Amino acid sequence: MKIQVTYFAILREQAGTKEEEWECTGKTAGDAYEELKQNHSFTLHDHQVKVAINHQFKSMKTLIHEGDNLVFIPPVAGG
Amino acid sequence: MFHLSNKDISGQVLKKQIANPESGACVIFEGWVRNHNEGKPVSSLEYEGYPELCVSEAETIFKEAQKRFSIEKIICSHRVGHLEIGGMAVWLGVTARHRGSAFEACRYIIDQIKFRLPIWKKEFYEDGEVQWVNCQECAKHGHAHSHSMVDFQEKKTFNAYYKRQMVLPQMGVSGQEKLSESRVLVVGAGGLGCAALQYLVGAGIGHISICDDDTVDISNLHRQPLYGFDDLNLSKAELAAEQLRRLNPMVHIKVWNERITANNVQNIMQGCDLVLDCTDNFTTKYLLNDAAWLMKIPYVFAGLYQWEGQLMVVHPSQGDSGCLRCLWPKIPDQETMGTCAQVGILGGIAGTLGAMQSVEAIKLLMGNKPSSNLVIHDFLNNDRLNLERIKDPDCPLCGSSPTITEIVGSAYETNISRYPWEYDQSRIATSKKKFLLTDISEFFELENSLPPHVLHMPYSRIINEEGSLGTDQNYLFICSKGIKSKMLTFALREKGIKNVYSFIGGWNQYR
Repeated sequence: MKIQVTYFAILREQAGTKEEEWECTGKTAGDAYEELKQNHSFTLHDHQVKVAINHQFKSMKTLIHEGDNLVFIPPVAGG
Repeated sequence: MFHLSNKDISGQVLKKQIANPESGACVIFEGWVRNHNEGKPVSSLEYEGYPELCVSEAETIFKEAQKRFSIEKIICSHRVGHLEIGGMAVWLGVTARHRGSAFEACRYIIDQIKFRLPIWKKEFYEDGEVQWVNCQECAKHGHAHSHSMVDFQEKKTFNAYYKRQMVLPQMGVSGQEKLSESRVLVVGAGGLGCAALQYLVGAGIGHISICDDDTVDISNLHRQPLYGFDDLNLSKAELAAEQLRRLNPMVHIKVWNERITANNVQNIMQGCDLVLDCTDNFTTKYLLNDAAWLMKIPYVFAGLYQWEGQLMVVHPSQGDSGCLRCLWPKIPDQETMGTCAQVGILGGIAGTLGAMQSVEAIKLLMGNKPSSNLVIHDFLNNDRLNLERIKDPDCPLCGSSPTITEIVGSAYETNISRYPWEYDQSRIATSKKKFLLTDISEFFELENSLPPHVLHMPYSRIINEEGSLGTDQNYLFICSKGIKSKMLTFALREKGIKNVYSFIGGWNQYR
């Protein structure tokens, strides 16, 4: 299924893009993250990242659907 | 010690009473009868007090001051009865080991005495008229509204200073008075803190505490406009307080020139209505989130990453939007996340987020409902993402069966986990491997020329150009503090590049 992905902070930097379309073979947000982690060599594990699906915070275990918009957000500490 | 006196007050006698060998500083305030009030010539005046209540209230004020400032002795004498022009109406002396706390405590005590003690003043004017001119508002409300409202001259200043914001229909005089009664703690006087502090002080928050143990570095100045070239290596908290007192002398500013830790966090937060998190590291952010939640104090979070900023309000008693740990339960490893020093930051972005924190704080103090969103600003694209937060029932802090129920120091120790690819000098000496020491500073970061055995290859080139590293060498990366080299090594190893290592502690530890 095709999903829309948006990245923030270090994930945006490591992915080299803010947004992309992704052909996902997994079922959950966590599966999608693992695929993207492999693809972009993300240094963060899924438990360090918060996901929002279609503008709602969700758990990584949430099932995803064709056309969903996933946003991956790590915490940031700069001040 | 406080007393009401119906005879002349002798400053000399009181000064002898307050002297003590532990103190290196004594600040004395004398209040005199002046010959005019509200533009009318005054010939003399008379004070009347309610002695029992005066003494007990003064003792309460002294106890508050003892708790708030590190001081030794307090003596105050207030006149009652008839006084001529130039007569001494009140004498207050405060001693302390050091002058800073003596000055601050003296100011605090006299302000509190002026508006909390039941003392009334009758003025005799030169035209023969007589009038009681006490702070009737204080007597009526019996609450701690700003001292500035008492005296006409000061009330004029108060109104003039705040009129542009009191005009706001949501603020008005009552909103302004709420701000004057509020106590806010700002932790961190860096990029976020400099901006937040200026607007909080300008807005007239009654009491502001600044906590920071850092000193000014030249690389701070581009985003920390409270400091200048003359301030290098001096205490940020002290300098900020000095500058902010010039901006608004009606605000009481307290300085905690120390690092906030699990040991002192509760003491520093005690009595605050709100905490602003202007820190730059995860450990402190989680410490503040946890302590504020446990102490039921609202907490305003902000964090920065390059062109991005995150902002949210955590309110322990209103709404159901949870806390920082509902989003990210564990304290992240700083080294895999980056800080301003490693990833870069634009001054205006830190300032914008800090100013936003001040606005959230002011709204909460006015009594507005807390926002339940996490707002992420992407300044590079001038874009903003607004996400509704909800409490996580499994949150270790605010969930239904929390595991964090008190502040335990060991939970906030900086993560010093070591990877097998991290080396210090003793490990290098005993290792069979041969390393090529490689400085990864950018060209503009290089301050001195490198020793001849050290290779220079900037971080940005290694990370962006695949194949920039050979395969027949073991690269031992070194940077100033060992953080950037650890990040780089971690990232490369995740990509499958295994001939890379990181020097622990950077040049700071290299001998």
